[in-house]
Amino acid sequence: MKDGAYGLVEVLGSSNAVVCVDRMVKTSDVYFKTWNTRCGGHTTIFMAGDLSSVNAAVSAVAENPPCQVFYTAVISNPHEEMVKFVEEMAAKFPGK
Amino acid sequence: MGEYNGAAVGAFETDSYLVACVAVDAAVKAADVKVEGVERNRLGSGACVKLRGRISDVRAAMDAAEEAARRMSPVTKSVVIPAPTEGTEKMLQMTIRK
Repeated sequence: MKDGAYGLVEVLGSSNAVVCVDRMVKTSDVYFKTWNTRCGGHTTIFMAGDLSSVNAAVSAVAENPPCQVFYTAVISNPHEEMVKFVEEMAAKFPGK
Repeated sequence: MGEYNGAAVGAFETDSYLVACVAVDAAVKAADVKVEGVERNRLGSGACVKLRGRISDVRAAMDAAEEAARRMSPVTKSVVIPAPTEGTEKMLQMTIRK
């Protein structure tokens, strides 16, 4: 099942990330792919779905951000190298 | 040693992991390069991306990546190594295993 697009949001802290994911999932038909939290607390969320719903979800967070959002981006039609990269990241979390 | 032994290396660093991912996507769409690793080795939210492939592809991919990244945030550093030697290969592998 190839995803139409990836939605990326960068916030500070995992709890803010959960708030953003919750809002995005309720906004449109996207699902949570994975996230990446490292030292410094910046968390990057990867959402996946088709392009229009990912756009709607990311703009929902970008317009009135629930917390401090650093960057948001939408990657449309990801290259298979990019898909492999995100899958590797998702595979790091057990039970995914 | 990684399976890209001897291939040209293109590495660039941005001050945000998200911008690095966007740049990686632009790079792999621009040319036939492999993504060897994306590491977050800086305290802030920076990320270092390593691209491998033929030197012409790596150069084209680096231009595309830099162009895509510059729109969102300043690209800290980028370098292209046409022919990495033995030591350089070992150094490249070191940070990925972390």
